Amino acid sequence: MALDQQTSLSADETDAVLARHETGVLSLARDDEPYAIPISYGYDSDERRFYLRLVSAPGSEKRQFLGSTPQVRLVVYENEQGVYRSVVAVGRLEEIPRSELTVEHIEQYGEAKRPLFEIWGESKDDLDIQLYQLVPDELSGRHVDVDEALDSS
Amino acid sequence: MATGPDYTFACPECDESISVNGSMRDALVENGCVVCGASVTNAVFSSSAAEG
Repeated sequence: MALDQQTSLSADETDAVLARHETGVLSLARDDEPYAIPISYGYDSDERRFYLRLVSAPGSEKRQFLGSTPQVRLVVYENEQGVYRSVVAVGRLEEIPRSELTVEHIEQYGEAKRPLFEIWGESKDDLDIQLYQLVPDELSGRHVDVDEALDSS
Repeated sequence: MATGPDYTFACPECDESISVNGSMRDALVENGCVVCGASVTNAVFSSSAAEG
């Protein structure tokens, strides 16, 4: 697919894509080892900030990739009626300590999808649930009309 | 600190315990547990003052 057949999304269009979805793929890395996981998020379009709950079992691989402020890349995408849109956010995950929670945090996490604890096969109180925010250093989106791209190829 | 948390929130689902003020209590009842997303009622808050 030629790059000139893709068009950047405006800030409003990017926010709209993020608002109508609640899941994406979060990529972390450690040295040259990648780690990507599906996550759910809440998105504050006013602050352009993501809120994530990351659930892991003690000693799990995921926990090993989550340093204090890991550099991450979050990808959200859709393919609706022949139009492909993707949004990429790049930045650092910042853990929100329980002692620093605010009303705004509670409201934002209320909009995030409930974690699927059932997939762990362990009770919730045996799982490590950390609250993070992602304030992207870069936030960009692109879209392409798949039919037009195929016709012109 | 001049004003401290007024309540202790104890989630019945994930056992999370967080000190909160009145505004945060209201937000938790409306939005659910900030940690696990479980529904929250006023019954899961205890008064910090009452605990001394």
